[in-house]
Amino acid sequence: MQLSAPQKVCNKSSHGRPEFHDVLGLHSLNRLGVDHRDVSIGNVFLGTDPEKAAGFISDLDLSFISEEAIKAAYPNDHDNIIKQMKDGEWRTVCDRDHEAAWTFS
Amino acid sequence: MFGATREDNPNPKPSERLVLKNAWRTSGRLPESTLYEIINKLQAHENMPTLRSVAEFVDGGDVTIVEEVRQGSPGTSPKGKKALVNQVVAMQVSSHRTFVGGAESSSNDPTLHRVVLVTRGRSMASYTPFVELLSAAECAAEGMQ
Repeated sequence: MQLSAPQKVCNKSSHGRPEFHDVLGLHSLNRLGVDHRDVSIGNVFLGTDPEKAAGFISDLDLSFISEEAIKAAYPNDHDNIIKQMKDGEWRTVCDRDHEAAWTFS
Repeated sequence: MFGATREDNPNPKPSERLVLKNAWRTSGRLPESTLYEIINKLQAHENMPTLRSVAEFVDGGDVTIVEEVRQGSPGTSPKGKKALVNQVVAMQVSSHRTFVGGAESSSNDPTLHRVVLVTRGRSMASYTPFVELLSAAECAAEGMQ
């Protein structure tokens, strides 16, 4: 079965720029206080729904979210969620001899 | 990744099919489903931008199993041992390893986690016309400017 490509690339204003209320993928995540941190070919997909955007980003498991965003989402229960955030070192899987490691606060 | 459907919809139309992501997450990091839940909560607030090019979250959480754990003090048991009780716990490599002989130990002890998404797509590597690849990349990455 041949899937038809989505007709619309993305919704844009008459100036060809994204509208404020219709911004895209990474930028919209950033505005919410989320940093994806794992943009790769395996995490960007071609959309198959003609009514939706031609592409989208997925896999937030390595993402960082600001404490301010958590407090805004859960004003009364943010402490419990923030406690779940690991402090210290996290690693990503790559070449064993050149394994990358980062720290974050 | 697996195709999935709602329990009350055994014969879904193509547009009703869901995506099930099944992965081991690092224990101690915020679960991916919690991140999506926070994003959905923030989206409900006024003056927040609408996410168009991010996968839409339906449900998710850690996979749980029933495990026997010893509880109570030895003195309370007639034989001087702690009582064995069944407890529902998140499935971790350390619990799963009992089924896999000789499995390598992991100091992180990852937790089995599932996420259900409504947005379906194809791998970027499967594009046919070049413009399709560029359009998808633009939607996901234009915000990086």
